[in-house]
Amino acid sequence: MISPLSRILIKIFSRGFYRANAGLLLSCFVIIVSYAILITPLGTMNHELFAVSELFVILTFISNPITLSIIFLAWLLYTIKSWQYVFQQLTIPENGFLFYSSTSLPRYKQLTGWWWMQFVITLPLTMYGLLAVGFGIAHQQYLYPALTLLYLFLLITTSAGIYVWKANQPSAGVPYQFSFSLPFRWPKPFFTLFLHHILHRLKTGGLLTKAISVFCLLSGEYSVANNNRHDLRVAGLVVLTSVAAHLYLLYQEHRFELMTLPFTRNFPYSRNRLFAYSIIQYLLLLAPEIILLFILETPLLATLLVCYAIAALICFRGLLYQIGLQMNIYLPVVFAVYILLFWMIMYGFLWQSACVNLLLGYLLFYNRYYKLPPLV
Amino acid sequence: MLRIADFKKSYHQHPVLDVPSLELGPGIHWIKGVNGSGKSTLLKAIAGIIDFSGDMLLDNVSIRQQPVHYRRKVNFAEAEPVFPEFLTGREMVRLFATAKQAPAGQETPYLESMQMQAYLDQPLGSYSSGMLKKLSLVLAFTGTPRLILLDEPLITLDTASLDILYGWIRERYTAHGTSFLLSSHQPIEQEALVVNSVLQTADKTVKQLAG
Repeated sequence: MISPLSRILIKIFSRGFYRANAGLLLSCFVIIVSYAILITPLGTMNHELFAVSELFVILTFISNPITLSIIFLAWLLYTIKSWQYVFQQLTIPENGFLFYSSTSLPRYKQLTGWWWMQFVITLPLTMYGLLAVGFGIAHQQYLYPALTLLYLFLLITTSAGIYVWKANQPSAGVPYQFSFSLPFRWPKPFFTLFLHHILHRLKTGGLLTKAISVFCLLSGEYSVANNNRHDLRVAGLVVLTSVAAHLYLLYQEHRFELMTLPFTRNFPYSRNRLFAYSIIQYLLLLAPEIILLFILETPLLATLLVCYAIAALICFRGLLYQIGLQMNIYLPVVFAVYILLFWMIMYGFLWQSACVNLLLGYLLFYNRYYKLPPLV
Repeated sequence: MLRIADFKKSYHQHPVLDVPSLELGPGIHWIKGVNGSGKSTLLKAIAGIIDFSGDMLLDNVSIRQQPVHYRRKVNFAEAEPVFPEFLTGREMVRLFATAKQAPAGQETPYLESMQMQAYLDQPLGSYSSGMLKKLSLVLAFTGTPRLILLDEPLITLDTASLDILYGWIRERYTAHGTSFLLSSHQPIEQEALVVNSVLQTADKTVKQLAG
């Protein structure tokens, strides 16, 4: 039975969490589903094998310990992100009443209340986990399903315990500050400002992005290697999906530029120079993926794929200059572009689409950079 | 020095400012007006930070035709500055010095006179609004601009700092010929700073009053 405390906590924190992270969640969902349905079977599976049950095995991770570990890590990052959100919300004056109301309940009742709140926040993971468990059992695998259920329970219970501890601290309500600082200061040239912003303010989102992106590249390579079939189209699609995992960061970059860096539009930098800075920034942002590509592929193919990835990033970023910070418009548009690029690669137009991406991204940037709407 | 032609600015299809023609000669200019009358909008447009229709020419350099050259000639300090909080004051000074091609060590006397060295290596997230304001003023004086735009420079600063700021303005104007356009609700003390002309934003336009 859900207690009145649980209902209030769910209303304040769980719903707020979904509102605040709708973009990231939707991006992850579409990327995972499109990756599993559209990309993994390509070039590695014939029509006979592409049965529904096989598809579900691909969709889940239950038969592969490596992907299971990666997914567990991603779940942990998701949970840490929820902690950050809840801690931050606890410092808002409107939620201050919790410190002199909920804390008078017995600890186990507090724990139950927060447990259900975290359960609702964790629903996307739980649903995915249960799907995986069901198909794992159907394939006579019991160890991984049991581990999955245990892990989910531990994540939720530990989170609830942390919230109870936090709410009962004398310092509860004081703004949460988790600062990660290196013992030395990096030089911070203009084109690295957003990368530093990720390190400073978007740590969890950045790690989740990289986890999804690297997962796409590794498992794509795993599928290809298993079938001894190096198909440029499959490699291109895997890279495209890996780039799509960065949509959240691209949106945050645009937000950072509009809200924190408007003063830089007074800098006497030409738009061509700023565009070159963007390319350097994306090369740095994609450094883990670039290293992986050069390990997994031949130098020539890796170079070509890196060029494709940068062009796709530039295109998705350019769309933001046109659309602005309207997530409800941006997401459908980028998914439509994603599907379009997907089919262009499928028909063998990888390099043509890279050129179009680069050109479109450049034109949108060039024409819109000084026309960014003010945030008033 | 500054010529504005056919200036129009709207927010969400709602016109907020319309300046058919305006010319400002070299000097120190004060722009006044009530809240929401468009002072900040005009200054941001002159600084090249927000878009508008029409044109602006600074020493015959058009913001449309030569956007980079134009921006080298104009600096801007916001009323309530927002900077990346992970940067330190020193890193901001370097960022601006690089962008504005400032002579080496140009910032030192400004930082010393405002006594900012003690906190210059702290992240901006730990700065008070007064410390941020002083930093934004130092940044506006970085490089060799022909025109410096100061949006509400008198707010947030204590009296001693205000006197120092007036001194900077006088020195840059007399020694380097740099012009200033200052927006302010409150009157500028004539004995502290001689203003060459006064502008007023009202009725969605800008009028030039007697100096």
